[in-house]
Amino acid sequence: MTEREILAAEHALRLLEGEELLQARALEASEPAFAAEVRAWEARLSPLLDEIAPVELGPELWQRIERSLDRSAPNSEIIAMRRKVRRWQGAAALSAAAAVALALLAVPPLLQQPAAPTPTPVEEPAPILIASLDEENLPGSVAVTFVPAAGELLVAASAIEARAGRSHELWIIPEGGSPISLGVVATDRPAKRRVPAALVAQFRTGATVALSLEPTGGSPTGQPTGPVLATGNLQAV
Amino acid sequence: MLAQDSSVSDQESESEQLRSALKKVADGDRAALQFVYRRTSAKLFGICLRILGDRMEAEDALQEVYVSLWRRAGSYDPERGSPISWLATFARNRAIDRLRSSSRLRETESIDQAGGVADTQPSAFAMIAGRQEAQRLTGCIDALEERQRGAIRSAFFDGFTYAELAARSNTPLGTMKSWVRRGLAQLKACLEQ
Repeated sequence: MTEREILAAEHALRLLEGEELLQARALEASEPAFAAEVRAWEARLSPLLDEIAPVELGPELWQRIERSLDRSAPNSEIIAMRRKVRRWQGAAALSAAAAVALALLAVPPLLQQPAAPTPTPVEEPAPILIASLDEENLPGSVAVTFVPAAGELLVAASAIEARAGRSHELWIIPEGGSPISLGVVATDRPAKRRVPAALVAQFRTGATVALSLEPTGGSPTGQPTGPVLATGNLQAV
Repeated sequence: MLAQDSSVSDQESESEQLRSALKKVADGDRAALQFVYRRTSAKLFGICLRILGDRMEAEDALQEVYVSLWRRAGSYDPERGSPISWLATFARNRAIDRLRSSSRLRETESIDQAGGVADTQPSAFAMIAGRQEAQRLTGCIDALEERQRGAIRSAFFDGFTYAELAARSNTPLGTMKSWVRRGLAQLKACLEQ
């Protein structure tokens, strides 16, 4: 097996932690072939789960689940949201990255609702945030996914043309505040980066993310100096 | 559906029913979610309980599984194979995430004890795999060297990371990694034969 295949198998088994885990997650989010390999290993191993005997539950758990569904957003909103996500996914050629990130990382603690008192208090985790930056005057698009659980930002640029002597720089713009640099965006491959702890608080629904054209290596001033090519707003999914 | 001798055709129709119920769940049909719950919760609860080793934790994990299923049922892709296998894997992954985030609440058994799972009859609760498929996997795992088999099974059933496997068996991390990697490569080769 290649190193990639091994990593996929290890990730399917959930053996990894730390840097290797982040690497596997990033690959899973950005490379469909890698994600497929992880799925294949999960499927390969899944018959083992038949060794585990079913354990019957009382009726309380279903009642708890129903209460939790009642507290969550009305379903029509969810369907509208899914539609929005699908549209957003369709918008970017590299949508697979974000779609997989959603499918794999967005999961449940993130989806628990805060709530009326329940027997087991569940803390409210931050939702995954996405933004799609595409503008008529920008050929291509940039998909931005923020995964709070990992403190990571996945940036997938598609069909963005590299320009000699120029860099594309990504910014987050807090409401009523000045842009804060999120770094230079690679135009040829998806990338993930850790969001510094001090910046995490800026990642909230509605915050604006923008892409500007700067001198190579990024803005020398710490503020955008070149034209803003595209903007988008973060949305919880 | 928990019958020991569930035939292949029963399994297929079960699969079909779940598949179509999951599709309805994606469209916001709560009765369909309840159907899925009735058919799968005991199985998935067993999985969560096995990994988390604590009933309350396992119930919370199970709740998360169905709530996220409700909110994101669209993520089940029928192309991806049997819905029960997908759900069971989903439950396992969720339980392991929970295990990791709660920094090991459980009292864990030793790897040797965990290896004892093998004593249960492999296809006694067959829901996920056909008999042949299950036998094949079991055969390939049994063909592994004992320490490779032990480590892979323990990772699978207990959710141990490399570092934990190494610590629990007093093996250097690098050695543990190479055992497991060799075991996985051998397993894949065996399954592809």
